Amino acid sequence: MTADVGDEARTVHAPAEARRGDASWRVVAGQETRDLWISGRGPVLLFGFSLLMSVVTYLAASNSALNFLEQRETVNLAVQIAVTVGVLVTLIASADAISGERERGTLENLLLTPVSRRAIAVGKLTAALSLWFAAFLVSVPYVWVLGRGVSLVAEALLLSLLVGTLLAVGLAVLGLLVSSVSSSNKLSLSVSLFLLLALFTPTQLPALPQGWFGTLLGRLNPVDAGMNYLDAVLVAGHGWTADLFWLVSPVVLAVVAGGVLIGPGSRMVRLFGGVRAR
Amino acid sequence: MRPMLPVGGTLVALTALLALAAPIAAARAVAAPAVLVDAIEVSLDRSRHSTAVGDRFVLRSLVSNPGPSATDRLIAHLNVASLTSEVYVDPEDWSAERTQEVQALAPGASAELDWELQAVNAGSFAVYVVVLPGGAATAGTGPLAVSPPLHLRVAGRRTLNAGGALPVVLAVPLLLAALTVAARSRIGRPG
Repeated sequence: MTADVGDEARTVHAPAEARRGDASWRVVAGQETRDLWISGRGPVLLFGFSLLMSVVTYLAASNSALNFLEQRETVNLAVQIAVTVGVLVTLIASADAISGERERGTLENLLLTPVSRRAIAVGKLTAALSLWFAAFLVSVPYVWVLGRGVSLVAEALLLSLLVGTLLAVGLAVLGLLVSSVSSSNKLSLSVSLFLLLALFTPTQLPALPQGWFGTLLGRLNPVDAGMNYLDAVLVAGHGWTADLFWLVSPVVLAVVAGGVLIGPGSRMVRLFGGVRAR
Repeated sequence: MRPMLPVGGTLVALTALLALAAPIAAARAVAAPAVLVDAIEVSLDRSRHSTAVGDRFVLRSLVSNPGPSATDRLIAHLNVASLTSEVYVDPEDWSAERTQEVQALAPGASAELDWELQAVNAGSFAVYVVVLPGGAATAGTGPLAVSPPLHLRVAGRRTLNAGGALPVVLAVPLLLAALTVAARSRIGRPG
């Protein structure tokens, strides 16, 4: 985060202590978002995301091996990739948020501003989430191209927004937590990527009959559960309310993430993560 | 002195015993496989079906036991075979659950089994259900009970066309790249 956030926060909020708690996170979020999109890696990540979506869409539309898929499944494939990669880039941004500042030596400046640490955490989360919402917007034309023949576009996009936002909020807070306790930015990014891969891997297992333990794990894993919900509505054609149990773990993850930000969120932003100050 | 049984009498008695026991043992020996051979019937809810590649449909089969004795536990298995040599079929692609268990059927009882299929190849296919013994006593015995085949015709279909997707596929990354370059050059410009 650049140094002018402190001045901006002072100008806007210094007189009103009560208002500062409510709105200072917006100042942080605005500055973090500008940093991410104007001078940061946001546009590059989004460009990479659009390239991936283009390749997938073109293959689904032209390759005979993928083209056998029913159109609903093709739309589902595009939505799942959009959600997964959109959440991945959000996680990368949040995993860099605190440990990156600490490593670049800019966290001290940020801590000196008259903004609460919780507001800093919320602002950084909001900036990271802007990547998910941008990825969602980029996915719209691809889903439209693939789903226009089966009147599935609006439903697919709403589902993508719902499931993707729940997962993005939960995993972005997880990334912030990892970032706050990691001694280096490299460690934070590695652990966060490993966590995402560990959660994502079960979605790639073949659809074999599972025992109660496998079913329980599938429902507890928010990424797996979210993908199963997309499958149930988009491919199997179930109603939105028929398989709501799949959304329990993504909702719980998002609620717990919100609780973490409200509760110990202030302790997330500190100068030394994982390394004791001497 | 106790009179001894003559040797000839012993042989006669043994022969009589064997003669009495033989029908029972023979009946026990043939009872288990006879249940499948004679009693079990398997039928499908249709004999023909036409669909298109990618479509899903449910095939219903009925396993019934019209015989006088109960069956052992049974295993029903779905299979798909191509009727043309050019098309390769991997049945696992067609149905995620191709084996179902059928509990022992009492005389006159039947069990319905649903099979969810997705047509993944275009062409002409035979789909059938085979029932085999799955109990501890009857496992590995045969012959098996097989349903009449469903003749399945699958029409080819291209769900999407590359030409329709091309403008979006090219335009979105180009637009994003242009916006990124424009924004970066504006930031880098002095003043």
